[in-house]
Amino acid sequence: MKRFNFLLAVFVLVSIPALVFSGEPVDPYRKKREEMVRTQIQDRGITDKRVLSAMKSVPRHRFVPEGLEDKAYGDHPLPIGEGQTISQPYIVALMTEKLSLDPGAKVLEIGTGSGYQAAVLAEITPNVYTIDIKEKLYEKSSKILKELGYTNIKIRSGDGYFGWEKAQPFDAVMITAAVDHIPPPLLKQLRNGGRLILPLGNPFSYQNLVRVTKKGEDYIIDQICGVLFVPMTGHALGAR
Amino acid sequence: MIFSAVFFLSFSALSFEVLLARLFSISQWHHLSFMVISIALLGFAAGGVLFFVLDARMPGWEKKWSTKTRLGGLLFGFCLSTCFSLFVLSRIPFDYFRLPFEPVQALYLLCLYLILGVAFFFAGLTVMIGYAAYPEKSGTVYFANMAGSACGAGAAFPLLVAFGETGAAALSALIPLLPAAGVSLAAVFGKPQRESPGPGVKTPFWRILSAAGIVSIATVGLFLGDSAPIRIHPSPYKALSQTLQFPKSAVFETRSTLHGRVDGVRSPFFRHARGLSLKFPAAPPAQWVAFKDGDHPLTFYAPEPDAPFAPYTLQYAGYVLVPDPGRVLVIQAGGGTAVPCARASGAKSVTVAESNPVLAEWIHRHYGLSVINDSPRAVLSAPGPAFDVIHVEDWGPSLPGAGALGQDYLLTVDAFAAALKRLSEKGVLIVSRRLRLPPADALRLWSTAREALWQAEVSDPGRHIVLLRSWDAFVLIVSSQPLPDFAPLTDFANRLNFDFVFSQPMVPDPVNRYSRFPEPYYHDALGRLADDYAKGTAKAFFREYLIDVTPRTDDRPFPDRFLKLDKIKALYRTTGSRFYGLFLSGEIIVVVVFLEAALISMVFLVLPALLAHRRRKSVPFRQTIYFFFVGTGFMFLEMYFIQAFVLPLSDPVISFVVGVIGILLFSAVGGRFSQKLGSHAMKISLWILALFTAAGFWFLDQWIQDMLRFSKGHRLAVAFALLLPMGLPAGIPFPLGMRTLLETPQERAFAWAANGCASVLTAVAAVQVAVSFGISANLLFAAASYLAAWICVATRTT
Repeated sequence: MKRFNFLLAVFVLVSIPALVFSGEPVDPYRKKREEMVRTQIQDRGITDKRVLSAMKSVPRHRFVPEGLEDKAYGDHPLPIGEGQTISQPYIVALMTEKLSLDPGAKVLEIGTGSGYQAAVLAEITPNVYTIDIKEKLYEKSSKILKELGYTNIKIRSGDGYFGWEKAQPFDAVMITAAVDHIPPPLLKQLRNGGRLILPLGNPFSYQNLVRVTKKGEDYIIDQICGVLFVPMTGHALGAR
Repeated sequence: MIFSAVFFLSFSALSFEVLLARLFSISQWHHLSFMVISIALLGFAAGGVLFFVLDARMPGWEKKWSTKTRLGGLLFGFCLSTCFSLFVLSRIPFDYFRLPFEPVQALYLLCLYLILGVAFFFAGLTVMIGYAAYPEKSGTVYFANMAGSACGAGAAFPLLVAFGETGAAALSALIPLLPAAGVSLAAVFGKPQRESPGPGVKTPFWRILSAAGIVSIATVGLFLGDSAPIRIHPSPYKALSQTLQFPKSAVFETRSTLHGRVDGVRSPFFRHARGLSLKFPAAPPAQWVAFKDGDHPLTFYAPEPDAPFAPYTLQYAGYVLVPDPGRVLVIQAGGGTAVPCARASGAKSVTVAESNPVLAEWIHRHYGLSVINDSPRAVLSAPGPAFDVIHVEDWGPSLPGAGALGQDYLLTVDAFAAALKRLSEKGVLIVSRRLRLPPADALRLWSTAREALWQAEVSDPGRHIVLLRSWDAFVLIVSSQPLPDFAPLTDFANRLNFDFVFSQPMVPDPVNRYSRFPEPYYHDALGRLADDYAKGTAKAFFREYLIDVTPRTDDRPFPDRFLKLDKIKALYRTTGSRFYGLFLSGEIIVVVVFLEAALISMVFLVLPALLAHRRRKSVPFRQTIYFFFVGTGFMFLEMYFIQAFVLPLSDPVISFVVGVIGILLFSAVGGRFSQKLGSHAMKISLWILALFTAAGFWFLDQWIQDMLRFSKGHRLAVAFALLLPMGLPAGIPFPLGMRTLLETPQERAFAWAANGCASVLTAVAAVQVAVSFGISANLLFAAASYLAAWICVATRTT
């Protein structure tokens, strides 16, 4: 009996510090996240390793409203309040991949929303700028991003249509809300060779995901696929 | 009493129906109004069915229900139900798009059907009682019914202009009761008057009417004026509703006319021009927008004469081919960039053709240009000096499919042919449209231009046509002369990052260069079509292509109709398996409405017949079929004129009013005349109708097209003149049949129901006939119907 008590005491003494100082907190959603990446993203043709790694790393469940955590890794968008949504994981991955970001690229996101897309971008490059017109979403996403340690993301509240003039030029710009035309100020803030990706079309119907590439004086538009986003000025819904 | 009741209720019912169609056109889409009202109109037939079924239990019902008291009750019922239906219509959260996903929407739709059906039920019941109670005066009842309906259709629009949509609808429903309100007020506030009308205010009839009058006036208060608590809002899916969701966006002026409602809107979020190149270096032009019936936005840009943004638009490509044009004609069916393009080109004279009087006034006021307030087709057909540029800007409705049933005479082979005739030797026709996948309008308009050139005996039409596109628009350019050199166009396209899509011969530049699809879809499809034209196998191309892109003619003027019912599955898969894109199509709605109406008609006609059979009473089968075919014949005829007159009268609403008023008035006269005729006149009138309608199939289209050469007033007069020869005899078969073919009130009730069901089914079917076979095919169906009715009478054993 004495021997058993001794062994138990040794086990407890060893395992408690091991648990405390292991560095990796237990993540109950890790398996779900890995499954999401495999079945929803890789199986649909996303191959960029940095994008896949980012999607595996960012805890998507932290960016959805309370009570929806279990649905965070489903193959669909989710409401985040203020008439906005967190995009379907595949679309997040697709848009990120289509920007072909180099490590160190300077990227501007229009429509922070939950902050999830900005976090994914921040896993790839330290130079992430993001704007949201809705004050409440801006505050909420700032807090979450800070809590998760994404301190390199520059975030502000404002009308993304006019971009972030002081931080220009950007290697890439991403609009995560539907627009019926390509905002000229954002094109101007692109570096030569820079890419702008956006859901283009009727903001209240369906759109085409398009990528605009600045090549010298010219702009090349690639039509990627059909998508369904909330309007860019969705902040206005319910404002009246 | 019965005749005046029939007259006023018919007056109100038709007026209410017309205004309801307007309300639905604003609050939903046009084809949805068509759906709901069509079904609601079955309420007319329901009265006949009701009394047919109740006949055994309520002998002598026709006499009991033709007393003043009961008729007063029917008037009251009509008045309350119409007002209540308006109230419900303005409050019910029916959302057509959610129908497949929210079961509660089906309940809302059912509520709309029932509530609107009840209002029409009261009206139909009154007319049917007239026929059943006074069969010997069927001609007079018919006259009251038709003349009342004609007046109602005519009165709807002055009311609309004066009181707005909801106010006019409420007033139209209450007009028959307003005299009663006067009597009532006199009874309440004044001294009793011995010479009060009728039997005196103390009789039940006048009490009912008085009460109805007071309730009506109170109800009208809910619908009139800007501060009315009950208002109709545009569909949330229309461009106007979407715009108003943005901050600091507001309507600054609203005008309702016969041509529809126009809203002028200012918003800081209007900051774009369709077709504008991404290379435009400055800020987007200042602008505000006019919406027609909540959609079809027409943008008014800052009225600078040189419009610096305009040369950066795709549609400016046409002006590149005609430097320093002399005279330019602009036709804008939505959009708004055509005027700045014309002005930026340095044209010596710019003329705008605009059929909507409000928009014509606003364009003139805003730009200070010469505006012809008339049908653009009439302007093209009129003699006059040639134009160097004719610019047609027609983006279509904001949602694909929503315009499938809309008649548009700007994009037909005949329209292109008329435009080509008005071009100068160096002239070009520019047509700009929204870009959509799969390639649809681009193919249709290219082949439309080709056929128009072919008709003009141009030997190599392909050399006269060029197509360019941007990421959101395409422009078709048709030239009077073969295009000798494409260099100005390729330079323009490359400079502004537009894609050169197709020409014959094709330029060496790469296609699908600036706005890249996975494949050069547009170029490839046009290439195949051009090859098939060269080989003489274009018909096979149109047959096999995924959607319907055959060129449109004035007889089938549906340029936004692309659906092929036999290829729905393939289209569904190709467009990303998106259900709602197809669901919106007006054509699918027609099919659904027809099936619904057929089902309800079956219930109305077959079940009562079976019940009667059980009671060992037979339904007069041959006579019922007769009234059914008289109904289909009349409605095919009426629908033909309503659709065909859109071309010369330039507006579907005006065409509706003229067609309905004309045919109802003339048939009212025919019906009154039938009172003096014997049963033999039935066969003669049916023969005349069959003959005239069949002959009309061959001649009328050309005559109607020729009307475009006349002035507006003359066109109206000719329209009425064309209605006369068919309208007069069309009024004879029904009342004469009621008087001579049927013997009991029960039979008359059933005949009324059969005629009502036939009218509703035909109204729906005629739209599909027009879309599938052409508007004039309705005349053949009318001829066949009258012939079938004649067979029923000719083979009758007496």
